[in-house]
Amino acid sequence: MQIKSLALLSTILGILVPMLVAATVVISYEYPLTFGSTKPYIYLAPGPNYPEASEMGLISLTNPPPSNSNVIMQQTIIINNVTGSDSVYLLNVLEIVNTSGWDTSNGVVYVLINVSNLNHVAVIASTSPINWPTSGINITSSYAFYIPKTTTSGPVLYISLCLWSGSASSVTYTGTIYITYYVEPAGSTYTP
Amino acid sequence: MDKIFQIFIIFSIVFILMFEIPVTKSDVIISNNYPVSVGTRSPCITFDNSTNFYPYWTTHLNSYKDQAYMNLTSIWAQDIYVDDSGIVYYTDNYGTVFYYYYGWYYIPSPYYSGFSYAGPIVSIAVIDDSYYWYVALLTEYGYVFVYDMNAGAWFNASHVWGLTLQNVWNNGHSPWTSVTSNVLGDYEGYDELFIFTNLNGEVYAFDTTYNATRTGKNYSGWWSVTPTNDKIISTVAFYDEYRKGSNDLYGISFTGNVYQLKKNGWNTLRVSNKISNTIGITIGYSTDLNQYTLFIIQLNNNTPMYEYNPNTQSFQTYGVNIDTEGTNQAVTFDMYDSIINGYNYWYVLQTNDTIAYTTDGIDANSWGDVFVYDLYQTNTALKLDSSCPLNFVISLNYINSKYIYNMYNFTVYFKGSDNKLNLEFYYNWPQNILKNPANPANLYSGNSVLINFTYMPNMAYNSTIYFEVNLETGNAIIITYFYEINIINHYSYIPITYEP
Repeated sequence: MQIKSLALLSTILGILVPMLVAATVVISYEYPLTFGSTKPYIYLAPGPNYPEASEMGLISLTNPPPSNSNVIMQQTIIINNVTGSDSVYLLNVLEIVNTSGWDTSNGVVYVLINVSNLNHVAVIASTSPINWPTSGINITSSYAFYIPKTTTSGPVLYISLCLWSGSASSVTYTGTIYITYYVEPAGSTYTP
Repeated sequence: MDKIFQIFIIFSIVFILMFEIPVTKSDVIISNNYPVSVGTRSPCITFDNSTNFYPYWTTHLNSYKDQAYMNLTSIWAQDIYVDDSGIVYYTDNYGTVFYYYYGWYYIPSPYYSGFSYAGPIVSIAVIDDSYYWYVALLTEYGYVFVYDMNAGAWFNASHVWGLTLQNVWNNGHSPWTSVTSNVLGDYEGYDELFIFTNLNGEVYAFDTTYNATRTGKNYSGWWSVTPTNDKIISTVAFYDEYRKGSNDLYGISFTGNVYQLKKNGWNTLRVSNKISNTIGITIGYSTDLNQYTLFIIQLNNNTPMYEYNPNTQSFQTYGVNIDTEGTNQAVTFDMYDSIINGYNYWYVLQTNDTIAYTTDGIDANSWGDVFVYDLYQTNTALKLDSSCPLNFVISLNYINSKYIYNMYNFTVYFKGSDNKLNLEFYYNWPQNILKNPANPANLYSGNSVLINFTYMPNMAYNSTIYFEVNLETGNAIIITYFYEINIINHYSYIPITYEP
């Protein structure tokens, strides 16, 4: 009988607890981030030096954002080295933009950047514009940036790309930059 | 039934693990991944070596013309001579002649005086007799330029005198290495001649006195076409060496072989103790042998002169170590002061325009030195051309160097598209200063930047400097190119095989 009671209790818990959790998820979606056809609150965009780099043929996008939007979503970033050169720095050619600002009383934001298979390409990021000789964090595999409290919209993270001579190959190859945004409600203890 | 309950328990636990634990933190996580395609494109800024001036500088470029490897032959003090009146002359390897005649004067290179380039200068000799006052320069290719001191002008002696030395270079590529004359020959009653020798030991003489119709005999012509086993880099003639095969023309190789020209050609002088790395030979008066004999010097610093003792058939130290600032390059003796006045003076020329000289008029036991500064400036040695759509600023970034102290000084300038001259790099050996101001120069779209140098060697050994050329557009795009300069401070026929 004890086993039966335990099984019954477990079953009840197994069903009820996920229901509670599901309720938590609903609350989570009520956090003020919107998706869909509207512009997200935080997103990747061409940086201030993108136009110059683009004019030089050193960076482009497979599907450039429409004129009324500068959100880079699910498309390939094409970068070119200069054949034979020692190195090519494309400073602040990408940026993470916050559109409305937020208050730390509502939570904190981290941007986690993962770099995969980008041989001879350095991804450098900083919460302030990157100067040359390069300032900022050289992301060799992954790095999480704490985005400080801000109440105004605008760029919150600048990204530069550096191509070393080893990448000056006639063979084009593909790597990946993963960008993950962690938005935590106030009181959360998560640390990436 | 127990099995059913057990399944329920397992199911419940799995269900709890799947949903309850992950949602203890209710974060919002948004992930995007961006494929990055990495390719290449051709440079729109390229090195341009069309201004190269062989053999003073040549630049090798990679196929994309964005890496440059420059061989830059520096201008060094090359040869020294004392004429029939005791006047000291020396030349650099571009043909600028300096002479001391109650003060230092210089004669601009024939290449600055309208003559076409005919090779680097390897040697100088002067005839200053009762007929002519000729300063002769021999080029590596076998061309001869003569400065008529009385007329104050250069003439192309190869053409005027009908010399054909250049044919040897053209046919066999043996560099010419030495010109000398029998100083005081005229005073002693002989013809005076310019005697030219190449690395293979071929000898041609030109009798200037015959040209003056003094003796009626012409000793001009080929005195030797017999190659030596070794390579002659310096020669000296005694005043009675006015006729073919009088046995008073001597040559020396870098390996220390001393040769004497006789009727049957060059003969190796019997020497029991060969001295290596020898760079110069002269005839002077030995106070311990009480006779005129051969003196030789080594390239190496902190070495003395060596005199030839015919009794022991060996070279022996004569005097104390030569004052050395640069690298020993050539030696000469003032026959005029010795024969006419009874004073013995030797002069040793060093690569960095230092002249070491004996001071007591007797032997070589005290040396002083004098320094005549001869900075050389190139015209455009290399260019950078832009076909980019954007304007750039360009600067030079020093990375590192090997043996840079072999340069007395070395300066790099960028002349921008706006014609403004920008100092990029500066090295000064005596002050031990190496600076890299890297002043930005403008490189406009569709325009160029010119690269110029000033330089003077210190030692005879080579130097290599590694740079990066940085091109940037207003802290947006930075492209760096590799640029290596290998500075050559001696002729290839001087087989220096080690670095200091």
